[in-house]
Amino acid sequence: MSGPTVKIVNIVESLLINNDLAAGRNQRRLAEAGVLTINVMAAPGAGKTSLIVRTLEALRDQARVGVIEGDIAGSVDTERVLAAGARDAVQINTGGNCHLEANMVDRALTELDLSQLDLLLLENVGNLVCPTHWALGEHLKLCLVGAAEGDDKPVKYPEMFAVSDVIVLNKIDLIDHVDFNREFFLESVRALNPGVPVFEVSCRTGAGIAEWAAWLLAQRAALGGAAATTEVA
Amino acid sequence: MCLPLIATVQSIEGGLANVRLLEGEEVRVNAGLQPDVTVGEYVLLDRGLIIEVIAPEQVAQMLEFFTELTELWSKEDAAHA
Amino acid sequence: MHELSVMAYMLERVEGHAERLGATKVIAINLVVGERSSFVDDSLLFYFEMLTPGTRAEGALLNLRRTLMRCHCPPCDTDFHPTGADFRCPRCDTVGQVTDDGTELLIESLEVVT
Repeated sequence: MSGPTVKIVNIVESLLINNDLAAGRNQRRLAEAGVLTINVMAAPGAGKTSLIVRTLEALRDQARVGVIEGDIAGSVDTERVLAAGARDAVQINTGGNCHLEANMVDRALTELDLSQLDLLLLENVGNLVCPTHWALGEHLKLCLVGAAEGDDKPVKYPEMFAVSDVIVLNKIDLIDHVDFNREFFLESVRALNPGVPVFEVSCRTGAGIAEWAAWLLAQRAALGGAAATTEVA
Repeated sequence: MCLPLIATVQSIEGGLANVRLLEGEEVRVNAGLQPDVTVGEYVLLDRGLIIEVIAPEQVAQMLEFFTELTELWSKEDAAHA
Repeated sequence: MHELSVMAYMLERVEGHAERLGATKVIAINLVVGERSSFVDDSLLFYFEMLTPGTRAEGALLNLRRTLMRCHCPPCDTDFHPTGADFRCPRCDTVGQVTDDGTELLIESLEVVT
């Protein structure tokens, strides 16, 4: 019987593999149902609530939108979201967690009839760091930032801007009244994520919302294939 | 930067536990990773889960470590400011 | 960022691999942790010490290979580490291009006794 032998074994496995696998399952399920899913991430106070409400209002007659709310501290509640035009809404109790995770979204999906949806907005917890590492099964990662928070967010939170598929700069109505160097902000975004679409909006005045909503619909059509946007009853 | 929370278990129902944080707040968390946890024990919480049961004497050690970390970060932030 | 959870979870995966390999002891765990993962080495080591007693990995060596964020400057055709204030090349002040370096977050290999 040979004595004990020492072996070096290559593993090369993500430390977050469990969540990654669960996110993969969510993503396939949502794609098969033709539901374009957006992970809405932002720092606290950037305007996540108002962007979701504005988006719902803009898409009211053009797409059936569901919302999964993960930010218990956020002011979006089910009634307000449904009133703004959401077809369905589910609240996740994150148990005080600072970000959503794939298994939470998986459970919430069981409470939605995906066949009745074209778009699904996942409102993540207000945090620019943790959500970047915990995929949910989204097709698009949205990074929302408010002009009032300063133009250095991309430099301070590079990962969020690097992994996002679309960036929304909110509160541009304040841009002349706050210390916000637009060129510096855009330069840093380009360094991290060349070619990423950046929508400059004001949820307060409604500026830029129509273009943003149109882009979202175009992404939905691109995913559509199986179930293109049906005539909204 | 997110740090774990330290709490004591107040009650357990199925896979969930009501715990009281050192800061005093009572929250409900998932006990799935530590099914044998009992009332009164100190636990480490992260992401809404009980990750580990710790001995009372480890609590002071943990708090000291957290303080060191937060001092490290404030120095780093100061360096970047 | 949640080093406690990830360390607890990593050890669970290592236990599974050790079981599959028929290993009696884990001598070393080699991780690659990128700067952009925002994981703090001190935390990883602290929780590793706390969580390993009574497991096959007790007494094992935790090696952390750190990979850094990197920027490429096209005109100079050189790379630099961003200052934290902007992404401009320290030599020619052009805005650089951030590469994928520093995003790694994985168990690279294990050293076990079978």
